[in-house]
Amino acid sequence: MKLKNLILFLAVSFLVSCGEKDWDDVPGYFRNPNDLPYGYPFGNNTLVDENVISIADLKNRYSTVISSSQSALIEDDIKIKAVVSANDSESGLSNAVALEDETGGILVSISDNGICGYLPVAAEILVDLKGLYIGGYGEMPQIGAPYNNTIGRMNKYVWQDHFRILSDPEEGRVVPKIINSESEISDEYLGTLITLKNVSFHGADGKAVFAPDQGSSYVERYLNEYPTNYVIRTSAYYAKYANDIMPEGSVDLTVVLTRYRDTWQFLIPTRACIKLLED
Amino acid sequence: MYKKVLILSAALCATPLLKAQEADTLIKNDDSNPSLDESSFTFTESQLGEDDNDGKTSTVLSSASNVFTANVSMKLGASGYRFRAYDNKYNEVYINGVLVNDPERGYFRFSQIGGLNNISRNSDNALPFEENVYCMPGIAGSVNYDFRASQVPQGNKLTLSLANRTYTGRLMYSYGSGVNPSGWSFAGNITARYASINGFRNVEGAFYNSLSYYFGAEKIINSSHTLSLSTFANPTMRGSRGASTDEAYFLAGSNSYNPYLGYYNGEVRNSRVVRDFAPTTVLTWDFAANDNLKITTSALLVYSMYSNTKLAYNNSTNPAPDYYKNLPSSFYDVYDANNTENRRDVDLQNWNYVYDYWTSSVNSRYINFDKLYFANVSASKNGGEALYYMPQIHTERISAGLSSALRYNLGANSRLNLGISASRNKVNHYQTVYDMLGAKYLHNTNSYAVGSYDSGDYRVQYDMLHPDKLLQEGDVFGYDYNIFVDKADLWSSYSLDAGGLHAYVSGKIGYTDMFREGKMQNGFAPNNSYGPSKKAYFLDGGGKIGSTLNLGMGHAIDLGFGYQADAPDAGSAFSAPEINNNFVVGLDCEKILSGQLSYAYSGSMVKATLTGYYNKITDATKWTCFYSDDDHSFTYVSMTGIEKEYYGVEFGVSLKLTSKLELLALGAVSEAKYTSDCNASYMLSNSAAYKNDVVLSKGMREDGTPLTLASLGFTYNLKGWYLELTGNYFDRIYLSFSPVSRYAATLKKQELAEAPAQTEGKGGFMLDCSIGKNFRLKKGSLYAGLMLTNILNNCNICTGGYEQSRTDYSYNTSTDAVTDKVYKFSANPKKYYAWGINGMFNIVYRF
Repeated sequence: MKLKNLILFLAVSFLVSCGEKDWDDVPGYFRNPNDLPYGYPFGNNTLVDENVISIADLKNRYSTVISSSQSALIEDDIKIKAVVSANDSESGLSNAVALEDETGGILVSISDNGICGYLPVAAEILVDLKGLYIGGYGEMPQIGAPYNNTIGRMNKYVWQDHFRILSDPEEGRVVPKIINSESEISDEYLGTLITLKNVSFHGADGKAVFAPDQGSSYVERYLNEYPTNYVIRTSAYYAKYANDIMPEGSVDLTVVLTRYRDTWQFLIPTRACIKLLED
Repeated sequence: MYKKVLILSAALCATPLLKAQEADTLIKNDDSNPSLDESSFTFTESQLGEDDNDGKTSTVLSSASNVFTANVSMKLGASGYRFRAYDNKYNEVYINGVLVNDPERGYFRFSQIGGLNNISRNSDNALPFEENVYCMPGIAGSVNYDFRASQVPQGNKLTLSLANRTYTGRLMYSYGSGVNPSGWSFAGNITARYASINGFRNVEGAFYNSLSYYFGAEKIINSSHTLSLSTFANPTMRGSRGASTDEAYFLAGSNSYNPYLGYYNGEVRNSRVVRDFAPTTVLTWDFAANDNLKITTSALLVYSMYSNTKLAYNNSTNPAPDYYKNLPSSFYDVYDANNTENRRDVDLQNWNYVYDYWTSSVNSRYINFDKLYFANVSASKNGGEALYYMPQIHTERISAGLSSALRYNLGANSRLNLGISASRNKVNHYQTVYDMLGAKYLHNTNSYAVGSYDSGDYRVQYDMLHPDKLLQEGDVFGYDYNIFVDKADLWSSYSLDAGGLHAYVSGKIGYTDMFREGKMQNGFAPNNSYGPSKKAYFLDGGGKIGSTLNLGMGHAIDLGFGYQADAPDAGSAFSAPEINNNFVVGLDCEKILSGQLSYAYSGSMVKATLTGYYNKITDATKWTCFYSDDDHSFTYVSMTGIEKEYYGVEFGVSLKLTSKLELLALGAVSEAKYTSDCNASYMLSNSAAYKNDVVLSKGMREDGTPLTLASLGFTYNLKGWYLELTGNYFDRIYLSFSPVSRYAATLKKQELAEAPAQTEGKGGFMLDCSIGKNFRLKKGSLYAGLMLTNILNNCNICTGGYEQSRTDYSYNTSTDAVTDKVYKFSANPKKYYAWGINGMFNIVYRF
């Protein structure tokens, strides 16, 4: 009898112990991000918002390096506080995130994918610049790492130590500048979101796509209303809309403004940035 | 799901199905030696196929007549030994005379009978050139387990085990009634095995829960008829172990590092959880017309449910911690001192940065589930779909089989066996969303095709019948199809004894048909994915002849030849079964030529065997899939026209040094390699385009098993004590070769004249020992024993793995320019290493 009881006890104990743990859908601490037990799982939660400068100030301090398309190590203990204005959610930007504050914008170039998972649009972050590099890639201001005497992508592990998420996305934080004509475009808006009002895609015929895979990594398209040194630049390999048919007719087009020397480049972050205008 | 299975199982038990097999020809394993009992009849983890070594499970093989094969599986199971390096599909497994091998993949998953050691002890093993009463054996032999209730030893048996292997605790109880006066026999077995995810183990995080059962009933109706019913299963849920690179093992500081593990809110979580439940019922009818004519008929019904979870990503980065972009060597070229471009100071700084990251904390080198959840929640705040999720890959099979075997003694010196078998099988492959990891939705669209077509294009749809379906947990997505396989065989053997000569001839002829039935209309094959495919038919068969010449004085010579054609496995017969109904072009039966010459000596003090063998396989087909760098796409690859040769020498010596001390020596030197290049046809998952190439496979070897091995052991028996010490050496363990690095096009791009050599794992020496004692009690007996494996803790023996199917270069399709990557996939194969010191302590109480 004792033996039977022992067997029964062990069997019941085993059955009770079996079964996979019932993992929650979402960990409790993500449901209320203001009550995180140890901070956000991405970035460096120990950063403190001291010595914060504006993005315009940062670009001014390193204007020579940027305009000469070189890079320089940031040795000063300075930070920027910025809002994410575009990320890689549809790979319109790849390996990069666009940050802006009220004074301007800048690209951060990171050797990483899935950045949209930790830096959603309209989230506010603090960037510790000391130890990072700044420079100009074809005179486009970027934060990153040195690459072939200019600026390139930084190691994703380095990046994780140099930013802190300050808050979740908030509606209304990112408001694109309205651009009605080429004359309104200037260096002031580099790295920021702008909306090109009432434009149309050159060559849109109901068949042409943004970036067919023709062996080149990037494909450039033009706007009928802008000269040919204003281009839409799209990754043929990675942009999720690369083979979407370019819409015929007029659109309001929201893009990140960048440049490569004398060419102004428009990067379309997502399909949602193309708003068809009614006839 | 489990409710469905319980209903089915109950229905199976109540269904009067017919079957059969020759019970009295089985080899009865001696139950009197408890040490033998626990060591020999506990399947090793590699035999159960539960160590995740790339599916390369050890062969379960034995033989009463051959010293080598009688011992090699148990002595060298830890190395992943497979008999002559054959794929396990060539090892045919029967239960009560009916074939139980998977009809789609060919092999038997021994985990289906895991924990049923007390039931599976009665088996009839046959080497490739040994006749038996249930089949014409395969080239890797065959085994027939007798699951009849009357064969379970009479009485109760309780076993308690503690181990640091696949499981840490095992409780096993079995009961056999024996045959009562009214002719009934009943038997049962229940086994619980358990390991926690944080337990003291040789593999990190591979938790284990299983509860296997067996129930058998048998009724001797009269002197001519006996019916028996057996039902069993081994429902199991376990965490898997993944192979990794030497760099990751180095950074983790252990060769038992498991990259499938992660942390979730501070708790350990395994991303790959296997659920396995295959309730099986066998009904057997033994009919003895007279002393010379016996017929065994068996019917089989199996409902197998197998699933595995994994991590997947969408428009994001691979979350595997050992993904190459997460490793230091992807930042700094550690292999080429002359590479100035990727050995700059900044590169070295990056290498150090990542090295410090990996080594600073255990959280850094495992999956960070918190990050995955956070990323999904963040993306959803911008309206995005899941960046990370966990699919569950399902394989559900229903098999019904019937076999009947007749044994007829034609006289004192000759026998005739004749058998037929048939089976119908339906295998459903599908994928569900197991865990959204906090995301709100996911589209059922082809993420490889999105970007290649307009977002509204039908070709991005996995299922045009439900376009753009938003997925929630539990929803089927990606693919959903059935594979149907019907098989029928007729076989016979005839044997003759004349003087010192025993000769036999056997042959079989078989029929196989197969087709696919799609349950989704894939955008890449709108007219060729939904509904049934055409049916493929194969006629196969072959024959064997063999003889044993008794030279007298204990000396004997065996000689055997065989030739057969086997229908291809359904698992490799379709070119891209997740997408369309297409069969592989050039699909054919594979042909097997086999021969063997063996010398045996059997004396009172010495038993020895020496065997040489040669096999050639032609027209074999192999199927695989992987991401192709050059094509920027996932690819489904079929290789046809494969030719392979297997040959070698095996020896075994058993020597009684004294009445108490016995020596056992085993050794084998073998070769198992591709003898020609083969054709490759592969489909791109981002365009459905097919490409053809040639794989320079000549010289590649079978992987995951030692081709050179030696074993020397001593066994000492004294007054109920049992002591064994064995040293094993194995070497020439190759890793599964990557086709893509041996495509002719790949070599041309790299301007290489010949294919790269196949990666070879490091072999080594392992010392095992076991000790046990049997105690006779007033009622029953008690056995206590300890088995220790790898007591020298040699953790540097590579037992298998695979070369990564990625290239070392980037290719520009417009300029044909080839640029070297910093990370060298060719130098970083994924490996499995042998467990460190591990053991099992058993207490067996019989009453």
